Amino acid sequence: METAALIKRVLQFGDQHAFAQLVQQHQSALRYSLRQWVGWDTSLADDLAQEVFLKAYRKLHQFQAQAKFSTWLYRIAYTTWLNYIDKQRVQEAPLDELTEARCDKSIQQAGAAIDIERALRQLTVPQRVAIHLCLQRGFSHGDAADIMNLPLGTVKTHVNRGREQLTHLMRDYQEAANGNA
Amino acid sequence: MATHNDSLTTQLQQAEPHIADGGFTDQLMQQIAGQPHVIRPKQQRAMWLAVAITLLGSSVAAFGLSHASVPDLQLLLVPSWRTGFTPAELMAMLAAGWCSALFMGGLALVKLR
Repeated sequence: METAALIKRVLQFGDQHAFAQLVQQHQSALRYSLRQWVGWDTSLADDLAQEVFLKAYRKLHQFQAQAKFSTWLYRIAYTTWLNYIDKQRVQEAPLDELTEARCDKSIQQAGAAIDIERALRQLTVPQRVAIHLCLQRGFSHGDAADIMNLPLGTVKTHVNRGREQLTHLMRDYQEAANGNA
Repeated sequence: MATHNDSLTTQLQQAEPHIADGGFTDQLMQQIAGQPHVIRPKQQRAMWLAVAITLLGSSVAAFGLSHASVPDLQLLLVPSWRTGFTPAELMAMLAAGWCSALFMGGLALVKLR
């Protein structure tokens, strides 16, 4: 069933199964995004993801049908995460723990994924989030600006600078890997 | 959605694992089932009834306390009032009042879930 139809069922009939389907459609992407934002602490990210979906359920009547559900959901997620880091100082997980999430990929892909995550850690938090939203999630710059509550130009700057830095870092890692081989 | 078709985007997207649900949705739905976002009219009526009976029960308890004849109780709460209730009657009134208050408070909580 499509997202709009599921939302309608939740709002009109209080259908919790329809909301469960919405969760299933978005849980993987949202949990991965939160893992990236919190520094790959999977338990913390999943706790925040639960909070995000609970807020979404409670506020679903505020969702504007003409907007994209994913943008709306990510706005809640971003605000929830900001509120969390206002209260606590988030520690990034050691890189060794990242392999846990890679068990379904080949060794080569897992290595590339760890390189990317290592490179992403070198970026500032707004750059990392802007890059993630625009490049990984495919949101437009406008949607990302809406989610992050930042001016459009600022988001474009974060994406461009982050992209330059990330490309540079990835090239360095690849050169180092080729040198070791 | 914007399209950012370059090698970096491809690398980033390929690096992302699919995260298996692993009970995430079930756990969330259990939380949601325990915390409805709206109180239905039937639950509202039950809540007001519970509040009214709780107030009534508390009034009975307060009446019992204010007419206490147990010297210690009188000393602590209402030193000058004395009506001649026996300790057993007093305790029965207190117990009835507070049990009623507790029962209806609990019922209200159960109904609101």
